[in-house]
Amino acid sequence: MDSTVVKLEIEADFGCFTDPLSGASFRTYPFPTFSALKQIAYTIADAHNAFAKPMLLRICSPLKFANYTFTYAGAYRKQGRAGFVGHSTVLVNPRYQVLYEVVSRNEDGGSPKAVGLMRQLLEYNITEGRCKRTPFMGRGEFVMKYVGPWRDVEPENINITVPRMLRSVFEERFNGDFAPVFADVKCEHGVVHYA
Amino acid sequence: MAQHTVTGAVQVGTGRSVANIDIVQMTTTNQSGVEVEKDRGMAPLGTKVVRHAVYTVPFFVDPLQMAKTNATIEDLKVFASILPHVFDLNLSRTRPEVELRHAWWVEHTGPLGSIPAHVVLDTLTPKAKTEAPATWADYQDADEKALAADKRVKSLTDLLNGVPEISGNRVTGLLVVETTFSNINGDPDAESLPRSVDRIGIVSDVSIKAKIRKIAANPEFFKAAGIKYDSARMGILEQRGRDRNQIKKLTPEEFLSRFWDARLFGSTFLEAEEKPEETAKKTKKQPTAA
Repeated sequence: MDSTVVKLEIEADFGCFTDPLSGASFRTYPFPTFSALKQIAYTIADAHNAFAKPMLLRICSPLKFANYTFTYAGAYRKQGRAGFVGHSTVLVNPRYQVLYEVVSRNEDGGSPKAVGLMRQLLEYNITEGRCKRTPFMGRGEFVMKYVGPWRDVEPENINITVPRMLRSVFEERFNGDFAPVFADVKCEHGVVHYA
Repeated sequence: MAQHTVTGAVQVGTGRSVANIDIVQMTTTNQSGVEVEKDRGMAPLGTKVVRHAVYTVPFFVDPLQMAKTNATIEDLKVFASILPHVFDLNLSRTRPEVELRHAWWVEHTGPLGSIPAHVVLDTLTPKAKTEAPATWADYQDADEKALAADKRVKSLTDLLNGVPEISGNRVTGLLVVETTFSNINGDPDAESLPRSVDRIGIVSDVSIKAKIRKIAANPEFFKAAGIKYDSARMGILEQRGRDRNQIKKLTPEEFLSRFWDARLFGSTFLEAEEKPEETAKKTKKQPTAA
Protein backbone atom coordinates (compact mmCIF):
# COMPACT_ATOMS: atom_id res chain seq x y z
CA MET A 1 0.00 0.00 0.00
CA ASP A 2 2.72 2.48 1.03
CA SER A 3 4.54 2.13 -2.27
CA THR A 4 1.54 3.45 -4.17
CA VAL A 5 0.76 6.46 -1.95
CA VAL A 6 1.56 10.06 -2.91
CA LYS A 7 1.11 13.18 -0.76
CA LEU A 8 0.25 16.57 -2.19
CA GLU A 9 -0.44 19.91 -0.51
CA ILE A 10 -2.26 22.71 -2.30
CA GLU A 11 -3.13 26.26 -1.27
CA ALA A 12 -4.77 29.17 -3.08
CA ASP A 13 -6.34 32.56 -2.41
CA PHE A 14 -9.71 31.26 -3.60
CA GLY A 15 -11.36 28.01 -4.58
CA CYS A 16 -14.66 26.98 -6.07
CA PHE A 17 -15.91 23.40 -6.30
CA THR A 18 -19.35 24.09 -7.63
CA ASP A 19 -22.39 22.27 -6.34
CA PRO A 20 -24.36 21.55 -9.53
CA LEU A 21 -27.58 22.04 -7.56
CA SER A 22 -26.71 25.72 -7.09
CA GLY A 23 -27.70 26.45 -10.69
CA ALA A 24 -26.49 29.63 -12.34
CA SER A 25 -25.37 31.23 -9.05
CA PHE A 26 -22.41 28.98 -8.48
CA ARG A 27 -22.01 27.92 -4.87
CA THR A 28 -19.00 25.97 -3.80
CA TYR A 29 -19.00 22.82 -1.70
CA PRO A 30 -17.11 23.34 1.57
CA PHE A 31 -14.27 21.15 0.31
CA PRO A 32 -13.18 19.61 -3.02
CA THR A 33 -14.99 16.77 -4.68
CA PHE A 34 -13.31 13.47 -5.43
CA SER A 35 -13.17 14.27 -9.13
CA ALA A 36 -11.72 17.77 -8.58
CA LEU A 37 -8.84 16.29 -6.58
CA LYS A 38 -8.33 13.63 -9.22
CA GLN A 39 -8.13 16.34 -11.86
CA ILE A 40 -5.59 18.36 -9.84
CA ALA A 41 -3.28 15.33 -9.77
CA TYR A 42 -3.95 14.83 -13.47
CA THR A 43 -2.64 18.32 -14.26
CA ILE A 44 0.63 17.43 -12.55
CA ALA A 45 1.23 14.02 -14.10
CA ASP A 46 -0.73 11.37 -15.91
CA ALA A 47 -0.13 8.11 -17.63
CA HIS A 48 -2.10 6.03 -20.05
CA ASN A 49 -2.32 3.04 -17.73
CA ALA A 50 -2.43 4.46 -14.16
CA PHE A 51 -3.92 7.40 -12.30
CA ALA A 52 -3.90 9.02 -8.85
CA LYS A 53 -7.04 8.28 -6.86
CA PRO A 54 -7.81 10.64 -3.95
CA MET A 55 -8.15 8.68 -0.71
CA LEU A 56 -7.98 11.27 2.06
CA LEU A 57 -8.20 15.04 2.41
CA ARG A 58 -7.01 17.15 5.35
CA ILE A 59 -8.58 20.61 5.49
CA CYS A 60 -5.82 22.83 6.86
CA SER A 61 -7.50 26.25 6.83
CA PRO A 62 -10.71 27.50 8.44
CA LEU A 63 -13.83 27.29 6.28
CA LYS A 64 -14.49 30.74 4.93
CA PHE A 65 -16.72 31.88 2.09
CA ALA A 66 -17.00 35.08 0.06
CA ASN A 67 -19.06 36.38 -2.82
CA TYR A 68 -17.13 36.50 -6.05
CA THR A 69 -18.79 38.13 -9.01
CA PHE A 70 -17.50 37.92 -12.51
CA THR A 71 -18.46 39.51 -15.78
CA TYR A 72 -19.00 37.06 -18.58
CA ALA A 73 -18.47 38.26 -22.13
CA GLY A 74 -17.92 34.89 -23.73
CA ALA A 75 -19.62 33.00 -26.45
CA TYR A 76 -22.90 32.58 -24.58
CA ARG A 77 -23.68 36.21 -23.96
CA LYS A 78 -26.82 37.45 -25.61
CA GLN A 79 -26.17 38.65 -29.14
CA GLY A 80 -25.62 42.41 -29.17
CA ARG A 81 -25.12 42.67 -25.42
CA ALA A 82 -21.85 43.47 -23.70
CA GLY A 83 -21.98 40.53 -21.31
CA PHE A 84 -23.59 39.49 -18.09
CA VAL A 85 -22.71 39.32 -14.45
CA GLY A 86 -22.27 35.90 -12.88
CA HIS A 87 -22.51 35.35 -9.15
CA SER A 88 -20.69 32.77 -7.14
CA THR A 89 -19.86 31.88 -3.58
CA VAL A 90 -16.25 30.77 -3.26
CA LEU A 91 -13.86 29.50 -0.62
CA VAL A 92 -11.31 31.93 0.78
CA ASN A 93 -7.70 30.84 1.40
CA PRO A 94 -8.35 27.10 0.99
CA ARG A 95 -5.44 24.89 2.01
CA TYR A 96 -5.54 21.12 1.70
CA GLN A 97 -3.33 18.10 2.15
CA VAL A 98 -4.31 15.22 -0.07
CA LEU A 99 -3.33 11.58 0.04
CA TYR A 100 -3.54 9.77 -3.28
CA GLU A 101 -3.24 6.13 -4.11
CA VAL A 102 -1.91 5.44 -7.56
CA VAL A 103 -3.95 2.67 -9.19
CA SER A 104 -4.11 1.04 -12.57
CA ARG A 105 -6.68 2.06 -15.13
CA ASN A 106 -7.20 -1.59 -16.00
CA GLU A 107 -10.12 -3.32 -14.35
CA ASP A 108 -7.96 -6.37 -13.61
CA GLY A 109 -5.40 -4.40 -11.63
CA GLY A 110 -2.92 -3.93 -14.47
CA SER A 111 0.83 -3.94 -14.17
CA PRO A 112 2.44 -3.03 -10.83
CA LYS A 113 5.32 -1.58 -12.82
CA ALA A 114 3.02 0.95 -14.51
CA VAL A 115 1.62 1.97 -11.14
CA GLY A 116 5.12 2.31 -9.69
CA LEU A 117 6.31 4.46 -12.59
CA MET A 118 3.29 6.71 -12.32
CA ARG A 119 3.85 7.17 -8.59
CA GLN A 120 7.49 8.08 -9.18
CA LEU A 121 6.56 10.54 -11.91
CA LEU A 122 3.90 12.19 -9.78
CA GLU A 123 6.20 12.50 -6.78
CA TYR A 124 9.02 13.86 -8.92
CA ASN A 125 6.77 16.46 -10.56
CA ILE A 126 5.32 17.55 -7.21
CA THR A 127 8.78 18.04 -5.75
CA GLU A 128 10.30 19.73 -8.79
CA GLY A 129 7.35 21.98 -9.63
CA ARG A 130 6.62 20.36 -12.99
CA CYS A 131 3.15 20.01 -14.45
CA LYS A 132 1.31 19.30 -17.67
CA ARG A 133 -0.83 22.36 -17.20
CA THR A 134 -1.22 24.84 -14.38
CA PRO A 135 -3.14 23.32 -11.47
CA PHE A 136 -6.05 25.34 -10.13
CA MET A 137 -8.50 25.29 -7.23
CA GLY A 138 -11.70 24.34 -9.04
CA ARG A 139 -11.77 27.24 -11.48
CA GLY A 140 -9.06 28.23 -13.92
CA GLU A 141 -8.50 31.70 -12.48
CA PHE A 142 -8.02 30.39 -8.95
CA VAL A 143 -4.41 29.39 -9.45
CA MET A 144 -2.45 27.86 -6.60
CA LYS A 145 -0.09 29.77 -4.38
CA TYR A 146 1.46 26.51 -3.23
CA VAL A 147 1.69 23.10 -4.87
CA GLY A 148 4.17 20.72 -3.33
CA PRO A 149 4.94 18.17 -0.64
CA TRP A 150 3.08 18.28 2.67
CA ARG A 151 4.24 20.99 5.05
CA ASP A 152 3.97 20.92 8.81
CA VAL A 153 0.34 21.76 9.58
CA GLU A 154 -2.57 20.09 11.36
CA PRO A 155 -6.13 19.89 10.02
CA GLU A 156 -8.73 22.29 11.36
CA ASN A 157 -11.40 20.90 13.68
CA ILE A 158 -14.18 20.90 11.08
CA ASN A 159 -17.11 18.51 11.38
CA ILE A 160 -19.63 18.59 8.61
CA THR A 161 -21.59 16.21 6.43
CA VAL A 162 -22.38 17.17 2.87
CA PRO A 163 -25.47 15.27 1.75
CA ARG A 164 -25.50 14.00 -1.81
CA MET A 165 -22.20 15.59 -2.74
CA LEU A 166 -21.04 15.14 -6.28
CA ARG A 167 -18.32 12.53 -6.29
CA SER A 168 -17.51 12.31 -9.96
CA VAL A 169 -18.98 13.41 -13.26
CA PHE A 170 -17.54 10.76 -15.54
CA GLU A 171 -16.81 7.08 -15.16
CA GLU A 172 -13.76 6.61 -13.03
CA ARG A 173 -11.01 5.07 -15.07
CA PHE A 174 -10.23 6.54 -18.45
CA ASN A 175 -12.22 8.47 -21.04
CA GLY A 176 -15.34 7.47 -19.16
CA ASP A 177 -18.89 8.25 -20.18
CA PHE A 178 -20.97 10.94 -18.49
CA ALA A 179 -22.21 9.18 -15.36
CA PRO A 180 -22.52 11.53 -12.37
CA VAL A 181 -22.34 9.90 -8.95
CA PHE A 182 -23.57 11.54 -5.73
CA ALA A 183 -22.92 10.38 -2.17
CA ASP A 184 -23.04 11.68 1.40
CA VAL A 185 -19.53 12.79 2.38
CA LYS A 186 -18.42 13.31 5.97
CA CYS A 187 -15.68 15.52 7.25
CA GLU A 188 -14.63 14.64 10.79
CA HIS A 189 -12.04 16.72 12.63
CA GLY A 190 -11.00 18.25 9.32
CA VAL A 191 -10.41 14.90 7.60
CA VAL A 192 -12.42 13.54 4.67
CA HIS A 193 -12.18 9.95 3.51
CA TYR A 194 -13.17 9.34 -0.10
CA ALA A 195 -14.52 5.82 -0.36
CA MET B 1 -19.08 24.27 -34.61
CA ALA B 2 -20.78 22.22 -31.91
CA GLN B 3 -19.64 20.98 -28.52
CA HIS B 4 -16.14 22.19 -28.17
CA THR B 5 -13.92 23.13 -25.24
CA VAL B 6 -10.48 24.58 -25.58
CA THR B 7 -8.27 25.28 -22.61
CA GLY B 8 -6.06 28.21 -23.47
CA ALA B 9 -2.28 28.22 -23.57
CA VAL B 10 -2.14 31.16 -21.16
CA GLN B 11 -3.70 31.10 -17.72
CA VAL B 12 -4.21 34.39 -15.90
CA GLY B 13 -4.90 34.11 -12.19
CA THR B 14 -6.88 36.32 -9.85
CA GLY B 15 -4.72 39.20 -8.64
CA ARG B 16 -4.53 40.41 -5.07
CA SER B 17 -3.11 43.32 -3.15
CA VAL B 18 0.06 42.78 -1.17
CA ALA B 19 -1.31 44.68 1.85
CA ASN B 20 -4.72 45.71 3.17
CA ILE B 21 -6.44 48.40 1.15
CA ASP B 22 -8.33 51.53 2.17
CA ILE B 23 -11.34 52.44 0.08
CA VAL B 24 -12.11 56.17 -0.03
CA GLN B 25 -14.59 58.43 -1.75
CA MET B 26 -13.37 60.44 -4.72
CA THR B 27 -15.68 63.16 -5.95
CA THR B 28 -15.07 65.21 -9.05
CA THR B 29 -16.90 68.35 -10.05
CA ASN B 30 -18.23 69.04 -13.48
CA GLN B 31 -18.07 72.82 -13.80
CA SER B 32 -20.29 73.18 -16.82
CA GLY B 33 -24.03 72.76 -16.62
CA VAL B 34 -25.04 69.20 -17.21
CA GLU B 35 -28.81 69.51 -17.05
CA VAL B 36 -31.28 71.37 -19.20
CA GLU B 37 -31.86 74.94 -17.99
CA LYS B 38 -28.88 74.84 -15.62
CA ASP B 39 -25.73 76.81 -16.27
CA ARG B 40 -23.83 75.73 -13.15
CA GLY B 41 -22.07 72.47 -12.59
CA MET B 42 -22.49 70.03 -9.81
CA ALA B 43 -20.54 67.18 -8.25
CA PRO B 44 -22.36 64.12 -9.40
CA LEU B 45 -19.39 61.96 -10.14
CA GLY B 46 -18.67 60.49 -6.73
CA THR B 47 -16.91 57.16 -6.87
CA LYS B 48 -15.00 54.84 -4.60
CA VAL B 49 -11.29 54.27 -5.13
CA VAL B 50 -8.39 52.62 -3.34
CA ARG B 51 -6.08 55.14 -1.67
CA HIS B 52 -2.90 53.26 -2.55
CA ALA B 53 -2.18 49.63 -3.29
CA VAL B 54 0.24 47.27 -4.91
CA TYR B 55 -1.39 44.33 -6.66
CA THR B 56 0.21 41.19 -8.04
CA VAL B 57 -1.37 39.23 -10.88
CA PRO B 58 0.13 35.82 -11.72
CA PHE B 59 0.01 34.28 -15.17
CA PHE B 60 1.30 31.08 -16.71
CA VAL B 61 2.10 29.81 -20.18
CA ASP B 62 1.34 26.10 -20.65
CA PRO B 63 3.32 24.93 -23.72
CA LEU B 64 1.51 21.59 -23.89
CA GLN B 65 -1.76 23.46 -24.37
CA MET B 66 -0.27 25.44 -27.24
CA ALA B 67 -0.33 22.39 -29.47
CA LYS B 68 -4.00 21.80 -28.64
CA THR B 69 -5.08 25.35 -29.46
CA ASN B 70 -2.70 25.90 -32.41
CA ALA B 71 -1.14 28.79 -30.49
CA THR B 72 2.27 29.80 -31.79
CA ILE B 73 5.38 31.52 -30.51
CA GLU B 74 4.19 34.58 -32.48
CA ASP B 75 0.96 34.58 -30.45
CA LEU B 76 2.98 34.58 -27.25
CA LYS B 77 5.17 37.42 -28.52
CA VAL B 78 2.06 39.50 -29.11
CA PHE B 79 0.86 38.67 -25.60
CA ALA B 80 4.23 39.57 -24.07
CA SER B 81 4.36 42.80 -26.09
CA ILE B 82 0.93 43.88 -24.86
CA LEU B 83 1.53 43.19 -21.17
CA PRO B 84 3.74 46.24 -20.46
CA HIS B 85 0.98 48.49 -21.85
CA VAL B 86 -2.02 46.75 -20.35
CA PHE B 87 -2.76 49.56 -17.90
CA ASP B 88 -1.32 52.70 -19.47
CA LEU B 89 -3.39 52.09 -22.63
CA ASN B 90 -6.51 51.46 -20.56
CA LEU B 91 -6.64 54.46 -18.25
CA SER B 92 -10.02 55.80 -17.25
CA ARG B 93 -11.48 58.33 -14.86
CA THR B 94 -11.70 55.74 -12.09
CA ARG B 95 -8.16 54.51 -12.60
CA PRO B 96 -6.11 57.60 -13.42
CA GLU B 97 -2.93 56.47 -11.68
CA VAL B 98 -2.12 52.88 -12.39
CA GLU B 99 1.51 52.05 -12.92
CA LEU B 100 2.93 48.73 -13.92
CA ARG B 101 6.06 48.39 -11.81
CA HIS B 102 7.15 45.04 -13.22
CA ALA B 103 5.94 42.50 -15.75
CA TRP B 104 8.08 39.52 -14.80
CA TRP B 105 8.46 36.78 -17.40
CA VAL B 106 10.30 33.76 -16.01
CA GLU B 107 11.05 31.03 -18.50
CA HIS B 108 11.67 27.53 -17.20
CA THR B 109 14.20 25.18 -18.77
CA GLY B 110 11.56 22.84 -20.20
CA PRO B 111 7.92 22.67 -21.29
CA LEU B 112 6.76 20.98 -18.06
CA GLY B 113 8.53 23.48 -15.85
CA SER B 114 11.70 23.23 -13.83
CA ILE B 115 11.06 25.27 -10.69
CA PRO B 116 7.95 25.37 -8.46
CA ALA B 117 5.72 28.31 -9.37
CA HIS B 118 5.35 29.34 -5.73
CA VAL B 119 9.13 29.81 -5.45
CA VAL B 120 9.04 32.18 -8.43
CA LEU B 121 5.95 34.08 -7.30
CA ASP B 122 7.03 34.39 -3.64
CA THR B 123 10.44 35.72 -4.70
CA LEU B 124 9.03 38.31 -7.10
CA THR B 125 6.22 39.60 -4.87
CA PRO B 126 7.14 42.88 -3.13
CA LYS B 127 6.92 42.85 0.66
CA ALA B 128 5.25 45.61 2.66
CA LYS B 129 7.70 47.27 5.06
CA THR B 130 4.99 48.85 7.20
CA GLU B 131 1.54 47.81 8.33
CA ALA B 132 -0.15 50.50 6.27
CA PRO B 133 2.01 51.19 3.23
CA ALA B 134 1.06 54.42 1.48
CA THR B 135 3.68 54.75 -1.24
CA TRP B 136 5.85 52.49 -3.38
CA ALA B 137 8.75 53.35 -1.03
CA ASP B 138 6.89 51.51 1.74
CA TYR B 139 7.47 48.24 -0.10
CA GLN B 140 10.60 46.14 -0.37
CA ASP B 141 10.86 45.38 -4.06
CA ALA B 142 11.83 41.88 -5.13
CA ASP B 143 15.47 40.94 -5.37
CA GLU B 144 15.35 38.92 -8.55
CA LYS B 145 19.11 38.34 -8.86
CA ALA B 146 19.17 35.09 -6.90
CA LEU B 147 16.26 33.76 -8.92
CA ALA B 148 17.90 34.80 -12.20
CA ALA B 149 21.04 32.91 -11.18
CA ASP B 150 19.08 29.75 -10.28
CA LYS B 151 19.95 26.92 -12.69
CA ARG B 152 16.30 25.93 -12.82
CA VAL B 153 15.47 29.24 -14.51
CA LYS B 154 16.36 29.68 -18.18
CA SER B 155 15.74 33.40 -18.22
CA LEU B 156 14.17 36.08 -16.08
CA THR B 157 13.01 39.23 -17.84
CA ASP B 158 11.08 42.32 -16.89
CA LEU B 159 8.98 42.91 -19.99
CA LEU B 160 9.18 46.64 -19.32
CA ASN B 161 12.74 46.32 -20.66
CA GLY B 162 11.71 44.43 -23.79
CA VAL B 163 10.38 41.06 -24.88
CA PRO B 164 12.92 38.22 -24.62
CA GLU B 165 13.43 35.34 -27.03
CA ILE B 166 10.51 32.98 -26.51
CA SER B 167 11.37 29.33 -27.04
CA GLY B 168 8.23 27.47 -26.06
CA ASN B 169 9.18 26.47 -22.52
CA ARG B 170 6.86 26.87 -19.58
CA VAL B 171 6.59 30.45 -18.28
CA THR B 172 5.60 31.72 -14.86
CA GLY B 173 4.88 35.44 -14.83
CA LEU B 174 3.83 38.14 -12.43
CA LEU B 175 2.46 41.63 -13.01
CA VAL B 176 3.25 44.04 -10.18
CA VAL B 177 0.86 46.97 -10.34
CA GLU B 178 0.84 50.12 -8.21
CA THR B 179 -2.40 52.10 -8.01
CA THR B 180 -3.05 55.49 -6.42
CA PHE B 181 -6.54 56.86 -5.93
CA SER B 182 -7.78 54.38 -8.50
CA ASN B 183 -10.24 51.54 -8.79
CA ILE B 184 -8.40 48.93 -10.77
CA ASN B 185 -11.38 46.56 -10.89
CA GLY B 186 -14.89 47.35 -9.71
CA ASP B 187 -17.22 44.73 -8.28
CA PRO B 188 -20.39 44.59 -10.40
CA ASP B 189 -22.16 43.07 -7.42
CA ALA B 190 -21.38 46.07 -5.20
CA GLU B 191 -21.99 49.12 -7.36
CA SER B 192 -18.46 49.01 -8.72
CA LEU B 193 -16.81 49.28 -5.32
CA PRO B 194 -13.18 48.18 -5.63
CA ARG B 195 -13.16 44.42 -5.24
CA SER B 196 -11.93 43.18 -1.89
CA VAL B 197 -12.25 40.32 0.54
CA ASP B 198 -11.31 41.06 4.15
CA ARG B 199 -9.61 44.30 3.03
CA ILE B 200 -7.38 42.46 0.56
CA GLY B 201 -7.90 44.02 -2.85
CA ILE B 202 -8.78 41.70 -5.72
CA VAL B 203 -8.37 41.96 -9.49
CA SER B 204 -10.26 39.44 -11.56
CA ASP B 205 -8.60 37.63 -14.43
CA VAL B 206 -11.55 38.67 -16.59
CA SER B 207 -10.63 42.32 -16.05
CA ILE B 208 -7.00 41.79 -17.05
CA LYS B 209 -7.88 39.72 -20.12
CA ALA B 210 -10.45 42.29 -21.25
CA LYS B 211 -7.75 44.97 -21.19
CA ILE B 212 -5.37 42.74 -23.12
CA ARG B 213 -8.04 41.99 -25.75
CA LYS B 214 -8.83 45.65 -26.14
CA ILE B 215 -5.23 46.39 -27.08
CA ALA B 216 -4.94 43.28 -29.25
CA ALA B 217 -7.99 44.39 -31.22
CA ASN B 218 -6.38 47.70 -32.12
CA PRO B 219 -4.18 47.57 -35.27
CA GLU B 220 -2.72 50.97 -34.35
CA PHE B 221 -1.00 49.39 -31.37
CA PHE B 222 0.90 46.94 -33.59
CA LYS B 223 1.83 49.72 -35.97
CA ALA B 224 3.13 51.93 -33.15
CA ALA B 225 4.97 49.07 -31.46
CA GLY B 226 6.45 47.84 -34.75
CA ILE B 227 5.04 44.35 -34.30
CA LYS B 228 4.44 42.32 -37.44
CA TYR B 229 1.53 39.95 -37.23
CA ASP B 230 -0.87 38.00 -39.38
CA SER B 231 -4.12 39.98 -39.24
CA ALA B 232 -6.13 36.94 -40.39
CA ARG B 233 -5.15 35.20 -37.13
CA MET B 234 -5.65 38.19 -34.84
CA GLY B 235 -9.44 38.07 -34.52
CA ILE B 236 -10.82 38.72 -31.05
CA LEU B 237 -13.64 36.44 -29.97
CA GLU B 238 -14.79 38.27 -26.88
CA GLN B 239 -15.64 41.72 -28.11
CA ARG B 240 -18.72 43.60 -29.14
CA GLY B 241 -20.03 43.22 -32.63
CA ARG B 242 -18.86 39.74 -33.45
CA ASP B 243 -21.48 37.57 -35.10
CA ARG B 244 -22.19 34.40 -33.17
CA ASN B 245 -24.04 32.81 -36.06
CA GLN B 246 -21.00 33.23 -38.29
CA ILE B 247 -18.80 31.69 -35.61
CA LYS B 248 -21.09 28.69 -35.31
CA LYS B 249 -20.51 27.93 -38.98
CA LEU B 250 -16.74 27.64 -38.51
CA THR B 251 -14.99 24.33 -38.02
CA PRO B 252 -12.95 24.07 -34.80
CA GLU B 253 -9.75 24.43 -36.87
CA GLU B 254 -11.02 27.57 -38.61
CA PHE B 255 -12.21 28.94 -35.29
CA LEU B 256 -8.83 28.50 -33.61
CA SER B 257 -6.87 29.86 -36.51
CA ARG B 258 -9.03 33.00 -36.58
CA PHE B 259 -9.29 34.01 -32.91
CA TRP B 260 -6.11 34.92 -31.05
CA ASP B 261 -7.81 35.14 -27.64
CA ALA B 262 -9.42 31.71 -28.06
CA ARG B 263 -5.98 30.19 -28.71
CA LEU B 264 -4.46 31.93 -25.71
CA PHE B 265 -7.27 32.14 -23.16
CA GLY B 266 -9.54 29.28 -24.27
CA SER B 267 -13.22 29.03 -25.07
CA THR B 268 -16.18 26.76 -24.56
CA PHE B 269 -19.15 25.97 -26.76
CA LEU B 270 -21.69 23.66 -25.21
CA GLU B 271 -24.34 23.63 -27.88
CA ALA B 272 -24.99 20.21 -29.29
CA GLU B 273 -24.98 19.84 -33.04
CA GLU B 274 -28.46 20.03 -34.49
CA LYS B 275 -29.90 16.72 -35.62
CA PRO B 276 -30.89 16.67 -39.30
CA GLU B 277 -34.58 16.23 -38.46
CA GLU B 278 -34.50 19.33 -36.19
CA THR B 279 -32.91 21.40 -38.95
CA ALA B 280 -35.54 20.15 -41.40
CA LYS B 281 -38.30 21.04 -38.95
CA LYS B 282 -36.98 24.59 -38.55
CA THR B 283 -36.61 25.17 -42.27
CA LYS B 284 -40.01 23.66 -43.15
CA LYS B 285 -42.19 26.27 -44.76
CA GLN B 286 -44.72 27.61 -42.31
CA PRO B 287 -48.38 27.56 -43.45
CA THR B 288 -49.61 30.99 -44.31
CA ALA B 289 -52.94 32.41 -43.24
CA ALA B 290 -55.67 32.26 -45.84
